[in-house]
Amino acid sequence: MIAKEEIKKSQKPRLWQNLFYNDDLLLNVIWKKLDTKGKLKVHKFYYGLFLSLRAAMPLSTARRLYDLLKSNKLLILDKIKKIKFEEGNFSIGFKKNLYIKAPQIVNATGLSNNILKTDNTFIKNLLSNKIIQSNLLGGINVTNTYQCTNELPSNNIYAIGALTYGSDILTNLIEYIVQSTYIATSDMLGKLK
Amino acid sequence: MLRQDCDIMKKIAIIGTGLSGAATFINLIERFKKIDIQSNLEVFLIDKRSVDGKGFAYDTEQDCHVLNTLASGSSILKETPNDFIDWLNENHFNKENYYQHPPRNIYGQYISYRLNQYIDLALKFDINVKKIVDDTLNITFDS
Repeated sequence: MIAKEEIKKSQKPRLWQNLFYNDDLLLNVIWKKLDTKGKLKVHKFYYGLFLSLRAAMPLSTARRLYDLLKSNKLLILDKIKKIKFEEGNFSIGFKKNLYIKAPQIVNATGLSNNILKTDNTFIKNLLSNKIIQSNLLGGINVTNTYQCTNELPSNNIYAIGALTYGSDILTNLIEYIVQSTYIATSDMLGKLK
Repeated sequence: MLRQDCDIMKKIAIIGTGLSGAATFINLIERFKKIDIQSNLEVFLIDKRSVDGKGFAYDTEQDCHVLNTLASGSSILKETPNDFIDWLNENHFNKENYYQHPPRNIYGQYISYRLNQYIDLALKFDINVKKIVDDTLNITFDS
């Protein structure tokens, strides 16, 4: 089982993980040097790997999940085909004709980083008012000082965090967010001087 | 010219006061302390839930919900990288596992504490801070 193997491996030092923990957000610097083709390739093939190393699941959480899996209290399924509601229950269909029924469903898939696909009213309005633009990966396009790019005479609007994915790559890490706010606030105050 | 003598009022609105919003405000005040700005500043802290720095991510009561980053890289102050570790020690949260992956509710308390501390500090610098609890729906630009 993959979970058991991963827990076993985590007992020993992991070279790549240690490198990522000590990289001082070097990946974001490299990201900015890549051309469009390179960015799309990293996004498609390596982003998940980078994130699983740089913001890995804590061992205590992995052990808890493994225990639940082992005792058949947790079942992990993917590739949902359709969801129906009938006779007081949701019926969830997966590929390979597997169905499960549940009275309640929790959508815990998180927010979409793609602002063009979001159902958030605020983001939708910012887009329609041309206050923000999307980048090649669908995140909010920001400059090196985190100002949103737009065609308005003033671009004193800044965006920081996961929604700017694509302008940088590791946008949801605490270190990244704090560093971004430092750069953005320096820029803001520079304009007030 | 003293800031108090200046009648130019600059306004900054920070939408969302989870980690990003709180870090923006805290680093804004940190930077403000160090430079000479000849204008009065007013900061609006806006959040649809509560202006407390916790956001969705750190507003949990379960200790088993832990950060997936290390405590050593989780300071909210850019220029004080050990700030979170020091805060853990000062507040007797110095359990071994907290240095690895601290509970999210503890981290939420840390952000909240620092946010409130910097709101107080802002007032000392004559920065007007207004908290607004409401859902932001739109921004328009009027030239």
